[in-house]
Amino acid sequence: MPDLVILPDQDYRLLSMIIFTPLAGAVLTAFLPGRRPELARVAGILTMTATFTLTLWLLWHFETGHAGMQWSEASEWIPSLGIGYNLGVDGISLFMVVLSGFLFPLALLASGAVMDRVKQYVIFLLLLETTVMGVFLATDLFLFFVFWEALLVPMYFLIGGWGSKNRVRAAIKFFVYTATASAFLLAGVVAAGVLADGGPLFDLNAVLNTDYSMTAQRFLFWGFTIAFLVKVPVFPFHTWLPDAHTEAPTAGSVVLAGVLLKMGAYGLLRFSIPLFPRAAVEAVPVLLTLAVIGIIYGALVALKQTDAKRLIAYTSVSHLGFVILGIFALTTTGLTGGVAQMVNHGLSTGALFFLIGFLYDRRHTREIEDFGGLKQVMPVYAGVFLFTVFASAGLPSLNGFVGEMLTLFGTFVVHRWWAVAAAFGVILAALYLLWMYQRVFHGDIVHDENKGLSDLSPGELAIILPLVVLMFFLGVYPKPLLERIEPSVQAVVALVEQRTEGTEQAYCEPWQTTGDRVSGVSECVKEQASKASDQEHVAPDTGHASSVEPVHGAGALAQEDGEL
Amino acid sequence: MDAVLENAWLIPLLPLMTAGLLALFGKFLKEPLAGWIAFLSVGASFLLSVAAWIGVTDEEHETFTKKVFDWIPAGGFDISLGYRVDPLTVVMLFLITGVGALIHLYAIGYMHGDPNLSRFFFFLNLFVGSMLILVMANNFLVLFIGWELVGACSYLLIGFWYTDMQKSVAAKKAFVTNRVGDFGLLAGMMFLFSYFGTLDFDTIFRTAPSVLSGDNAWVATAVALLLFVGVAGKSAQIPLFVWLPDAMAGPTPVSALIHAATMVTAGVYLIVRSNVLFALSDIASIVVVLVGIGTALFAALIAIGQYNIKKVLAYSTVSQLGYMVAAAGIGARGDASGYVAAQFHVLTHGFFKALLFLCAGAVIHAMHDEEDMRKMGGLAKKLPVTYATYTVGLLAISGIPPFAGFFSKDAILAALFESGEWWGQLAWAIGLVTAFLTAAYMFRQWFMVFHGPPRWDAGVTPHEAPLTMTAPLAILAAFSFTGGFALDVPELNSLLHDWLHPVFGVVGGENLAGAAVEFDGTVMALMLGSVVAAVSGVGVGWFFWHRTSGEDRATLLEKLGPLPRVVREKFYVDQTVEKVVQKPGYALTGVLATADQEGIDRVVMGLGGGTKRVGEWLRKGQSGYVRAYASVIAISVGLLAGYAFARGGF
Amino acid sequence: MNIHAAADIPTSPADYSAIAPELAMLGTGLVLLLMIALKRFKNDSWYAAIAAFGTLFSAGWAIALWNAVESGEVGDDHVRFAFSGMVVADGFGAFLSVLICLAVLLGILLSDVYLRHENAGKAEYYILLLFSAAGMQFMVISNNLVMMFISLELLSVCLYILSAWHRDRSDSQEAGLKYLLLGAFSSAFLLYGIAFLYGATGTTNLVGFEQYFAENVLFSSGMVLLGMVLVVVGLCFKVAAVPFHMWAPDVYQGAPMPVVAFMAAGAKVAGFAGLWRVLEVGLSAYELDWQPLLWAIAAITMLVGSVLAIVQTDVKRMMAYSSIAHAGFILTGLVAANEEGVRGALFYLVAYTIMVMGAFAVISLVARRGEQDTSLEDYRGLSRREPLLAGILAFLLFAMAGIPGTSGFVAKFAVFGGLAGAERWVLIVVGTLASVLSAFFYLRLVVYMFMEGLPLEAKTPTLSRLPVPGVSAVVLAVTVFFTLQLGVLPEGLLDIAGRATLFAG
Repeated sequence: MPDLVILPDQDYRLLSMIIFTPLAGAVLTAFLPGRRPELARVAGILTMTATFTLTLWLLWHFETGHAGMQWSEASEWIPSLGIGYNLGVDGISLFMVVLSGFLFPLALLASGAVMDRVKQYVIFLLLLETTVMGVFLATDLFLFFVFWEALLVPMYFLIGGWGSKNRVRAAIKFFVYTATASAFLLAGVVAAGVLADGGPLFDLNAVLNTDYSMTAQRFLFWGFTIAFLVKVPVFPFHTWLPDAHTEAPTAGSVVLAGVLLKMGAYGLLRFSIPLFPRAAVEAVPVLLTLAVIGIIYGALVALKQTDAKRLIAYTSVSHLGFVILGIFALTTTGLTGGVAQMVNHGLSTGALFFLIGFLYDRRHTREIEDFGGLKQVMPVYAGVFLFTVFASAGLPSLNGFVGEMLTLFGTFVVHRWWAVAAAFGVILAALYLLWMYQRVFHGDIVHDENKGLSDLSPGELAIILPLVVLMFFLGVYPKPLLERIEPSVQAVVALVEQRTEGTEQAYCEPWQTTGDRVSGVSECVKEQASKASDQEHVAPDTGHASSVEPVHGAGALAQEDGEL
Repeated sequence: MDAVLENAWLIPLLPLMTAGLLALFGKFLKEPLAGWIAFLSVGASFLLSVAAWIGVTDEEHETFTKKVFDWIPAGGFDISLGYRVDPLTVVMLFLITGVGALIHLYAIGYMHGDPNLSRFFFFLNLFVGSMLILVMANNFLVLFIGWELVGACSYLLIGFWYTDMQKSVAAKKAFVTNRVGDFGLLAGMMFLFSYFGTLDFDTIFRTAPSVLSGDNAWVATAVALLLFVGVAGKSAQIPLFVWLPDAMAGPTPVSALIHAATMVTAGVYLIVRSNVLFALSDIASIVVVLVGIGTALFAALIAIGQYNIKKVLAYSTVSQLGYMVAAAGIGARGDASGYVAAQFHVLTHGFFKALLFLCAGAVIHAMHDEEDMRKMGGLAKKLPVTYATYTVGLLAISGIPPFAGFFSKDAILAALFESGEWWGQLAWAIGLVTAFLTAAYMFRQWFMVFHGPPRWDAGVTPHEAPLTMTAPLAILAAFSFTGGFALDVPELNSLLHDWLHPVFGVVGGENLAGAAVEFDGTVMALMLGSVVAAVSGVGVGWFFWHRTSGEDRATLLEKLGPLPRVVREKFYVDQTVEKVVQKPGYALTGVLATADQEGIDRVVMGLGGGTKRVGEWLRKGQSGYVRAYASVIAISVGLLAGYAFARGGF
Repeated sequence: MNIHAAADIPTSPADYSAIAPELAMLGTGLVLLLMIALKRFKNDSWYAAIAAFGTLFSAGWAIALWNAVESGEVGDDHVRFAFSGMVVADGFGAFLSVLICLAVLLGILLSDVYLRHENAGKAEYYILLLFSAAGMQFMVISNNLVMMFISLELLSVCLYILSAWHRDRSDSQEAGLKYLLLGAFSSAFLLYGIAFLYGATGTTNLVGFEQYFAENVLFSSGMVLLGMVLVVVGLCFKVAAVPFHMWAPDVYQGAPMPVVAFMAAGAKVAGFAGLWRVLEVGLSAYELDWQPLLWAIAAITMLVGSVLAIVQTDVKRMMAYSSIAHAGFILTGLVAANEEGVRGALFYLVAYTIMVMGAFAVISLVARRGEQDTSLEDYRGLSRREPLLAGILAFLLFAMAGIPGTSGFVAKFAVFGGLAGAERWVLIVVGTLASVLSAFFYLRLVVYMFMEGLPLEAKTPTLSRLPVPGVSAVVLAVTVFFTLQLGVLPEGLLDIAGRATLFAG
């Protein structure tokens, strides 16, 4: 494991602080008088802001250009089961953490409409934040699973306790569906830990250093992956999402879209692929296909939705298809794009849910038919909404574009046709989003209830503006994001190449990604090419074939550069 | 002039920043102020463009590229945000900032009294800025930014009067149709990236001939065709032209600037810019030329049947774009240069079509927002300036020498004919017919609007537009007259040709600019041919829509059978699209949505229900009778005993 | 054939320290008996107090024994047989008898509250409780099938009576009767099995079996296996494993709640201990034969228990099925048949005992007098009436569902770890899926408490707040605390449990 070096511990445990500050806040809130809801709110806001500050501190001190875990903590926890309390952050998890820290306070601020059992509401939000942070920071399989599974409880209460009409059904569906998936994950975790060299050992590094047998890899990979795919969610495991999104309160939807959906993709990137690289390479075609289906399917189904929240839920299915596509392209570009897309989707879809929430607070309906012509009474709102829609539809110079391009290009160089098919999603995205926008904002006001609607209040503006600014900034200057993500994902790719070398699943990233960024043939491919020329046998799978093809172009290019 | 080129990024930035300004503080600006600020910013970029032009004139800078900052660095995919100033860019800069500035000026008068004036100019500036990004890009992805942003701006501006659902729908149609084209462009870029490892213009165009040779020759075709899909979207070619006529829903200045002069020519610009790629593939050339010239003819035919003053101009735009695309498609085959001709026509068309639209705007303005030509007529005296300037534009587009349109269109026809390829000459023939039609429908409009008896609605009192509107008309008229012979005349003057020469790549040792056209018999003949076509078109127009009275015309149309109706219905294109694409597509979404709920979700929930049912079933065993329980135990014991004996024997 | 294998086992004639905890338990019972004969207290709580004291005393002895075992004072390799091999003093036994004491203690506290507000209190109740506890304790240390049978009967008979304790409730009577009949039925099988084993080996001493199988090769093992399965049946009945579980729902529903809680915890402990000693110690030679058997029983127990729980509408019945499911999880520890597995099972037993006690504490509070409110409907909107109580119950339910952060999760993880060590992958998946199923029905209860409004007819606040006596508060505090503590910092207990498996006969 050359590229996953652990930095020496810092002198204070920042990551633990990030995880447990919300928990402390929750405990504190529990002791506040239930009669004074505003106190609970204040306590919640303060705690979340503090947490956000910590995450910013983390971002500030994150060493760019470093692949391995940083701020890592490792302590004994349950030695008799081979379990440790290990935390760490790298380019893959960094922005998930910061994004969570960023979204939670906003989510609570946007919960002004919650009047019932405010105290419990705040507590559950805080617990949710703790578990979320834990999921992204844990570097021990057991610890990860603890947070992963514990997270269901607060989310379940938030949906079921403060959601809208069919909240209970949605809550149970959410819980049971995802828990069922996690059952396989649990089995996988146990097995992976016990089979690890010198096991039972659940520390991520220990597991990473184990080279599982192909059979084990197949079972474990799918055990882990099923759980993650459901969480993402990837077609055909997505049907819990629309219900959950639609019924959840605004804050719930925001967190769900902004953070929870990312956990699945994160899990794939952090566990499924590096732990079981051979099985992963083998599974690439399946997952790419699912991703593409998801992209197109989600978009098409979204077109038919009449409920704004449901519509956005399906767009999530479509957008996260891009994430999966990028991840299983297994190229540095694609993976970087995948992670970037996770952040972008968190921002834009989060913003969309905020906006829908604002509207819901005014009209208590999400049916698109109940609106129309709103632009006349809420021009500012309409403007912000359109901006977000464009960002979400991947308009260049806004954040969505960067992620989509990277995933598409990263995929294309190795799996041409999947990328082309996925690019259709770009067309559809414009279609369903603009259609919704048109039906909500354009035309004349048909319903009298809408005549008196007030435009965004300063408070709401304060919630949405940071998102808008970020969406624009990350669209124009995504470098700070990408340069922190890249080394870590590159390490993943390197790991896959190294672990699959000489096996049937041998995999190479076609493009050189190191040194000066002029793309050339990667060393790995050169070796492959030489081997191929030595013994004249053709590479079996399409992935391999297409991964060799571009090399001609690049080779010729190299010569050209030589001549000129 | 290095300083200028070093800071040329200001050219797009000025309008963009003004746009931001208007977006944030627009509502605090008193009415005309917003317009003037916008106008000044564009004017400033115009001046900078002039400076940039001077900068480029000296040899070592003739293509100046500069990287501003790393935009998307990730893995092998490393795109920097940079710009490029070369002769081609400068030409486009002039067109965009020049015409742009004039139209801003015009809009100040035209949009007078609109409550959302500042928002209008915010969008308009945003457009100009995006368009400038498009033409100044130094790699495909940056070009793509501009490409998409102008699309978005056109969406915003077409739907500017959003309360009218019609307009809103038109806007969405425009954006989505463009997206379809963008898909092609995107796919093309992906191909390029996977074979060149970069999207930089320089590298790609320099190395394309060697990289895309041999086994990879097909890639050139694929890329060219995919890029052409994008072109078809932006430049409204068959089958993606459907959005442009509807786009006339936007305010007239918008139609003039975006949907006539600048944005729609982006496609042509793209072909000219990536001339190398198109030059490498004959198949691509055939497709481009035929689609282009086909579009020209088709649109011209439709234009004849339209009564909406702007729709006529819209279809004429589509038709003219067809010319340009065809010319760009034929490229450097033969010794004439289609690329230069195309670019030439982009310029002249920019002048006279903008002019015509603005005149139309003035007319509409005068007629109190009446757009139906059947309710006009006899406006010549009421609107002298408009009349005069419109006439100039008319002559230009009809290809009457020595007006601008004549030279550019003639250059195109020449290029097509002299290409020596069958498809080129076929295109030339069609082009000639189209030239005839063009003159015909333009004069039809001229007569219907400005001549004959007034057919105004009651209470309409036409009045000439204010100076802010007429001044731009005059200036554009001047260009429409001089724009031709000043830039390029066979033998006498090859200014544009020489100017663009360094822009073109080298394939097989040949610079794709081709040679400047000499004046010989063929050229002579061609010129005569197009003049004849134009004049006869004028004749038909005069005879049919001026000399012939209404009822005679009706009887004449009777003789033509169903054709007139078909033409008036635009060959039922929209209806067909709706039947073939929209309805089935929407049906499909319906099917999927149902399948999602009734199919996939049902299965999932079914699993849950299934377990429940199993539970209910097992529950029946729980009768509460001890005997039942005991017997269950006994049976199980029996089974276990069986197991024991099976394992251990007796 | 060496008939007298048992005699060769090193023993000391009358080694009372080996059975000190049991003696303490019995003694307290006898003391109470005498007290009744002499004089009755007005307030039954006195009996409770004495019983509790006695239990603590017994626990103290058990702990002392544990220390002795650990320090190796009890003789070579930490194991000592006493009373000519009838009982064994080892870590396993000591650990479990401490656990039993804990169950008794909590049971007594629950009973005190219950009996007072049902005013069904009698000293005899506590006497029976203590005697059955003693039976359990004897069971976990018995090294001889006869001994095991006697202690099993002791604990069962007491439980029969306790189940029928509530005279005013007919279901209580019914429960007692059913339990008695079926219990007798299964005991018969157990006895029959013992007979077969004796016939096959000529001894009833478990270690004797071990030696016998080590020294002799049987021509046909049919008889042994038959005996084995019959013994397994008898013991599985006690732990309510499918398909010998059918008594459980009826009995749980009818019997007084504290009894149910005590029975759910204690009987499982005893039964599990019995199975472990018989199979792992006595019949270890036949591991290959009993493992598939146990595998199947564990699997269907987990699944059937969970599935049936889903369709229940009465909370007590639901808890009955949940306890069946848990029995399945505990059995998987035996299937693994390795230290990790047994350690996991021991941990599970502790965790379960605590959880179930706490849960029943809440349930009996909600049920009010005469156990009337035990249907799901009665829990509607509980979170609004009794946020704290509802919260606690929810927490304990999530613990039973095995949500991380609670002892329940660690327990499941531990047994699965054992299974993984034994490469029983399928059973792991079955287990994880079963735990999801169980989550489903625990969630239903939570839904009623938190997400449904008050019942319609109760819109007017007829529902007064529930009185929470101090004793129950103590029970709740203890159970919640330990459930959490064992969930977050389980290392201590895991370590002890691990050693308990090491120092075993």
